[in-house]
Amino acid sequence: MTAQTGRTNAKYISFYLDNSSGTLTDLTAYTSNVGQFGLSYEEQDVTAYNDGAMNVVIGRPSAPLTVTFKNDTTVFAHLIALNRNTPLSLDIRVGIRQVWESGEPCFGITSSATSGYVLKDMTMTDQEITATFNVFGATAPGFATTAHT
Amino acid sequence: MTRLNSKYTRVYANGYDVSGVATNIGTVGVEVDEASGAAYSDEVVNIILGNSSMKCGPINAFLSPSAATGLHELMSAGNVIQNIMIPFGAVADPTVGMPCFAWTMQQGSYQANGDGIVGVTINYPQASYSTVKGYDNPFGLLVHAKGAETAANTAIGTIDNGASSAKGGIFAWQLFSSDGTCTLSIDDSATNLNNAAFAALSGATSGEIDATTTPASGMIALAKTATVRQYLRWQIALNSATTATFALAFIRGT
Repeated sequence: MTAQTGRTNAKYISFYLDNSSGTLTDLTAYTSNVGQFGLSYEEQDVTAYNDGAMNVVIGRPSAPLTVTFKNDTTVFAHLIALNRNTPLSLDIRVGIRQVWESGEPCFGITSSATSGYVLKDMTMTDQEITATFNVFGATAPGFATTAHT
Repeated sequence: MTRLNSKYTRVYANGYDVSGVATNIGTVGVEVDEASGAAYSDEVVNIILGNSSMKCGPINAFLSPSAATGLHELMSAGNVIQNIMIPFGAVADPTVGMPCFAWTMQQGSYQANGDGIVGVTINYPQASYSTVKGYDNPFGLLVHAKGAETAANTAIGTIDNGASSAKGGIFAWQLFSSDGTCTLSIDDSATNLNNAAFAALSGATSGEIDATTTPASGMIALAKTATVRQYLRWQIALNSATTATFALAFIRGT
């Protein structure tokens, strides 16, 4: 298949995350919600007394993630083995009305020793597992059309 | 892949199985403080993680006094320190290797309500009571499902981590009943060939305990750099006891 354009449905989203050995692993089969993903920029107010309107300049982005998984033994084992000080590669791939193909949107980061996502919170109800991730290091994740690895 | 069903969630506290009156466990797990910031040239706001806070509950239950000790008798004082263990099951009661939450928590409340079937809500402050320094994860695997044993374990291991680790771990145990003294522990092994390959995991022991009249429970943290070999199994030394009913969990350090 070739990359497609246009609208899509969330059923074609896939979620990849490093395991404890640093291997990017497809966790889509256990993922039920990836929340909001992308960059959200801080605003710095620069309004002076005589400005006609409040105005801002845009600063740095942040990109926290909250991902919800089904209560499943495989994803549970994957998450509890992660060290919270180890940056992780992470990729959210949005297939356009098909399983994701290179050329279609994805969001994430390829980790290094000094950059990536880290696992922050992990909580569980008797129905689902919720994990939050945030950015470690100076490099921003971002949208791309080739997979993060 | 094994999906879990909430029907098979079980709740143990201080050696008591309160699953028969508990109706909802709320949210269990860990939330980690994050200090965020960025240098001028950083592309993105980024974080360095700080302290972990263990989260448990609120647990909802029926208000149900029992002739023996049950949840009401155990928790109604409102501030009891409890060794909590919550294993999860898929299509039956939790079995060996299933996910498990285990931590020592101190209650902050025990409050009843007046709607429908009278229930109680048990809150735990979002902080760990215990002194398990260096560990930031309350989730592990069930090494022995609740059940009775009358002899030491000579079987091969049932928990395979895939590799050895040298980051310690936490041993949690709940002894529901016994007819004398016994010692609960964990064995580990580099291979899973036979009984002889297994040896006691240093430090992962309850010490001698007795639940003849009162259930017992505990949570033991190994040194954060302790080696835990690839395979784990449960173990019991029956001292004066001839039978003991217990559940064990192990949280491998990361």
